[in-house]
Amino acid sequence: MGSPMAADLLLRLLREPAMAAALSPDEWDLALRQARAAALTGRLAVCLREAKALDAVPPAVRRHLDAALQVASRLRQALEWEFQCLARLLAPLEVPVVLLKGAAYGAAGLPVAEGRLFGDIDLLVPRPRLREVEGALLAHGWAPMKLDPYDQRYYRRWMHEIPPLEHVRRQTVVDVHHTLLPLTARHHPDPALIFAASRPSPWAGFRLPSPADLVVHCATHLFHEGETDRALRDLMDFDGLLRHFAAVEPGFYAGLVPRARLLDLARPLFYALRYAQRLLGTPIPEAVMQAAQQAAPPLPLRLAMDRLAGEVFRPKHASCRGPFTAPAHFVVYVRGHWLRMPLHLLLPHLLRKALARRQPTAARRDGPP
Amino acid sequence: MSGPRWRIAPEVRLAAWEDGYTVFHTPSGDTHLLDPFAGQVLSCLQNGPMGLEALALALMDRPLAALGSDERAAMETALAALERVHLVLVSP
Amino acid sequence: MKLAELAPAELKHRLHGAGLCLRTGPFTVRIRSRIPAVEEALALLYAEHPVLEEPVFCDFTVRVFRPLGLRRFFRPQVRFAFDDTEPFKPLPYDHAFPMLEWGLNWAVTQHAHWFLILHAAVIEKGGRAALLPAPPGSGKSTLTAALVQRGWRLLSDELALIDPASGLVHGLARPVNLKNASVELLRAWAPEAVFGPPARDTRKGLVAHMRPPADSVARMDEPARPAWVIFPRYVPASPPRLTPHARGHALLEFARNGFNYSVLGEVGYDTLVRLIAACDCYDFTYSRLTDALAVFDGLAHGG
Repeated sequence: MGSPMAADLLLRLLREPAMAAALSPDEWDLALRQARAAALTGRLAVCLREAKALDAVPPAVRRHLDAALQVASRLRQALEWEFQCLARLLAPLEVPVVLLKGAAYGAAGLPVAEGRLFGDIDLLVPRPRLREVEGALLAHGWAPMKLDPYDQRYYRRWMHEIPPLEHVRRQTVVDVHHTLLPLTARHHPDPALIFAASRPSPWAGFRLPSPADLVVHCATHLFHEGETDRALRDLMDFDGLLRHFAAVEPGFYAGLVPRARLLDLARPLFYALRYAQRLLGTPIPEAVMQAAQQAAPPLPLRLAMDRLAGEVFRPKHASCRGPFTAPAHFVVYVRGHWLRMPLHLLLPHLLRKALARRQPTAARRDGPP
Repeated sequence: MSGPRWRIAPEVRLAAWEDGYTVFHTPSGDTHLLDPFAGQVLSCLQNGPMGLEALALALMDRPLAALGSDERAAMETALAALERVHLVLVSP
Repeated sequence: MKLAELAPAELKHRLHGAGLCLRTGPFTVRIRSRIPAVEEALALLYAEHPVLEEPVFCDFTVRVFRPLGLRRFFRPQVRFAFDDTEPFKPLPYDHAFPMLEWGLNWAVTQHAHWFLILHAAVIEKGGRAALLPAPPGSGKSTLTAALVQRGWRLLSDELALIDPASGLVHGLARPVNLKNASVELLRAWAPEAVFGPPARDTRKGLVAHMRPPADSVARMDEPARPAWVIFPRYVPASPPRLTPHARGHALLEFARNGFNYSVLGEVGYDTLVRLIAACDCYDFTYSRLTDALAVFDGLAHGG
């Protein structure tokens, strides 16, 4: 494995679902494995369904895709139940709560929510109300996820956030934020702007970011994140959001770049637009690309990012790896952290994380069931 | 009619067995095993929202006033337990 | 073609290279490993299983391997990879084949949501299946192994695969996992039974796998209709006792211990209701295998 054709198989299939009719059994084998590695099995199923290509999928493969849709559907149900539970416990506080990322996509019923593996629920609340919200959650069966004392300090003192909370019985996770990026980061999007532009959601007690803010935040998360496991999935979210809002939201593209500038997030938006267009073929008006260009980095940095993007926006799978893949992931990992924290905090943090990675992770279980 | 009324939550499935009723609540994904009495309460509510008066008639075949205090308490306890696990909703 | 018909050199070649593709009931698996004990165990315990030729779509691609590095010499380990990821911590090297088996079980329970997958052994006689749910250490595997050496067909020692549409249970006919004294007990019970090499573990003692009877493997594609749910419990020196097990409780226990019950939502629940409604549910305590066989055969002939 490792041939260029094989490496691009999933991406090609996602861009041209009609290809499904022509795939051989071993190509399906590889495509499914790449999709699993990229957490895109459900997304692949939805793409094929929309293109009316699911019937062209061999039954042995089809049942895996249907299984992924089933998992996604249950996670969506669980998300919606969680909205109800959270709304009940937050209602007495009368605090504005804006949903972010996956939770927002689910609440808004956006196309990118279809086939999605929902994870944590991200909430944005005003900073002065953070303690109150945390208190209400703790009183209703939520508890800080088992983090070692170092990680707890990392969240509270340096990132000025509270660690993610897990519901004791339901095991769902809520991540409560008061800004889009850590206070120690290099960009400073003003959360008040997000609240001011937010809209009501179909779920009582929760608001949604405006379309432009959803898109800009997606771009920011993409390019400020050190963990690259979901990089391709997140880029596909960005593509999906653009396509959807371009079709249904009047003035969407005209307002996008100006909004990003206002939020001090024009640079990540530039990157997202650039790589969505190049790697996924997202149709973006030339005027928007040119406006975004003004936030482009100097040429050497842009070339370096182009190289990194080429490696990182792929399924994290053996068939997609080349000689530069691992170093690229490492660079992105370091960069992700560098963007979040100043150097004097970064180095000890990275060292600590590197040592921790040597031990078996808590997420991996002991052998037999 | 005054007094609280209880109604069964949407998307509840009920099955009767010799040792009680199993219940599945689709929105939460929870599965419960109810004792026979609580199960019968829930089963009655499948016919429509009810206050205590209607429930007494449906469940025990007697009016509320004719019930002993422990029979009434049993109904209220069952309703409270069902409410706690989101199987019934109450309107005041 | 069966695995037994594959030349040893070819078996090794596939395991070391692109992978050995086998079918176990509803699933196709691609296995890669350079570990000699794994090769031997596969050749012995999967002899009757169908082998597939590439190019083929396989449901699962797995690998068991020895990690590189200094550890290799000191206290060697074995690792399991499901495609590119490792869901488990490493185990001692002599657990290579058990790790493959556990890994395959994991792969099925994590992905095969077109079945409701319950934690139970499944055996069949006369077209009717008995599901044996039980926590580890209850003797269910020993009982299963013993019964399938005496006329019962093995569907699985661990995974009950229920098709929501038909209510039928599907089998894998894979090796039966046995521990400690059970291995010797089975050797005495069925001298003709074939076992893979044992692995020793300070936590669990000894672990070995029994080859599934050829007939069970030959009939791996035949689903069965569930008729009994039997909760077995080995109680030393006790006479056999079959008593009714409350069905509401049985359903709840399946729901709690089901591998993918929560994924299937209401389909999972409806499937369980249908299953329990169709089955007689029992608790079964016993101490002697001859007693157990008599009781089970009695059920099969009773109707």
